[in-house]
Amino acid sequence: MDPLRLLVDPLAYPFMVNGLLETALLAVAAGLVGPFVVHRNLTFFAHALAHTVFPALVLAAVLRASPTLGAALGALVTVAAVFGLRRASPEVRDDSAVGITFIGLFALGVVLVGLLRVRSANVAAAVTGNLLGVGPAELATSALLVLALLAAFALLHRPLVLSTFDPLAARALGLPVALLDLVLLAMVAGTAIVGVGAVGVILPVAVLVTPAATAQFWGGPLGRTMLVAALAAGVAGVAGLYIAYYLPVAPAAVLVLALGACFAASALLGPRGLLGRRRTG
Amino acid sequence: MLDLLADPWRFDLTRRAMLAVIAVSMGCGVLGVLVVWRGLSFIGDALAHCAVPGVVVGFLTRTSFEAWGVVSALLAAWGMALLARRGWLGGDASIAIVFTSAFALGLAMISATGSYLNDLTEILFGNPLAAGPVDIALSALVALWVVGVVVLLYRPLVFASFDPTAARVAGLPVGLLDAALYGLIALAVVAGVAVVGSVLVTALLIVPPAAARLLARRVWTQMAVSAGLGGLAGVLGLYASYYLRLATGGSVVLAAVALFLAALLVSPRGVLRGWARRRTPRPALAGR
Repeated sequence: MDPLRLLVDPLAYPFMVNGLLETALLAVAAGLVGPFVVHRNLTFFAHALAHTVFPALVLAAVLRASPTLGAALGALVTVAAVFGLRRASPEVRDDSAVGITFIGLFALGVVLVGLLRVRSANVAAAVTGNLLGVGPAELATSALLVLALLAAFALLHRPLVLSTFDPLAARALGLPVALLDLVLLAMVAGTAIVGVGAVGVILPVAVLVTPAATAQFWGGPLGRTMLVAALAAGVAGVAGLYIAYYLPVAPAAVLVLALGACFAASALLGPRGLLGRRRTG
Repeated sequence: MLDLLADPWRFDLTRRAMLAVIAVSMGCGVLGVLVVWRGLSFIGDALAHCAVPGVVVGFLTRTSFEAWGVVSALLAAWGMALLARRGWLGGDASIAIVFTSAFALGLAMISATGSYLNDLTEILFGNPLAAGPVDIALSALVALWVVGVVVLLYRPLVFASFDPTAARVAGLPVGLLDAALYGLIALAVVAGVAVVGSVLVTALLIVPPAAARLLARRVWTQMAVSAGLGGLAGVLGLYASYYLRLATGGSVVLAAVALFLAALLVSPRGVLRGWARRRTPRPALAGR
């Protein structure tokens, strides 16, 4: 069969086009926010957010409120709880604060599901996400979120970069570091929410972390890291969709495996990877 | 009153669940202290998901889920340890990359073979009330093994956790010790997931040790306190689940979080003391 047709034929279906658009949005978000997540070690926080939004979604379903509103409120509660626990005692470490918030709220969600008898026909979908079932409404929500991310970054990119890579200097210059941290956490939350729609509860952290970690092996300034990360996420997403179109596998799983392969290849062959370093001595 | 307390224990079901939770909280409580010291809180949840590809292999080949789950979690744990040792990435990023790849592999296998996803969600959420006698014996064995190894390797493990550089200078095989610790965590997590579910295991690995850190100073007392608090959370959670008809795993987790918050209030380094300290004005020339 003509290889070009293999690529073009699936585009006749709106679900495929929607999936590709969602992937593109996800890639932009991953490229923009991922490098910050890796550098600030916000990985666990990003993973936690994808889970703590769960009880909020359960409540939103029971109250028939908008799921996006629920997700945003859940993210807000998470950020407040993590900050509160961290400040409560010097003996509570950052990862403990995140971990306790994460597992506590998630368990609350599990208890609520049983208590309120929520019929969760979509438990499976929540685990794997549904990249091929993205509707116009979800696409619009994702587009809005990504636009907000781009706007935040365009307005604040100098202070954000400075407070990430040299917090002491940022503080010395009188930048509101705590406020910038909150903006960054909100950006991570936005990306996590886009990710949950596309790849489910468990895998958004891969979209945030793996492309940015892959880009690290190629070096260069932050802008290039972001481009490489977005490119890796986009290519993996397209590969996931096309493979899932022809073979009966979950697109999110292929996406994440492709990302893992990108990471492994870059760790070996990238200029800063294992072999690259040896070659340059 | 006494009846209310004794009532739940009339059933085999609840007694078994209690034993299972106590066994799991022993192993997780002891390891959790080292996990919290190393800032590895992410690893419990991650390794629980790393068992999935193994479980699918067990499912497809009709062999033991647990054995294959342990194999895949062990491989993943050592992969995380290796990645973290290269120093390329923060520890959490290494954990995330390995765990998402492993979980995605499991998902791909499930979706490609059309096996039932329901079994997977059962595994992920788990239910202590479903623990059978074999499960309990198995988790007790794992707990004994974990505690035994930690007792045997106590000094080197603690040294390597607190100051890996100094431990290496002192001639300790830090890489091997890391491999042993990560291996023990993988074993405890998978055994726990099989018996009480991944949510509860993750919680027992993080929450009681964080509470113990607030209440005790020495490492071994923290380990004892954390194992005890895990068991206590099990009892409280089972009562809550029995009388309020809540999901068992979830209510044990919420009980553990409640115990942590209580510890946060009363601890010498906690919230109440903090307020008291801020209220009393310091003498002008207090020595630091």
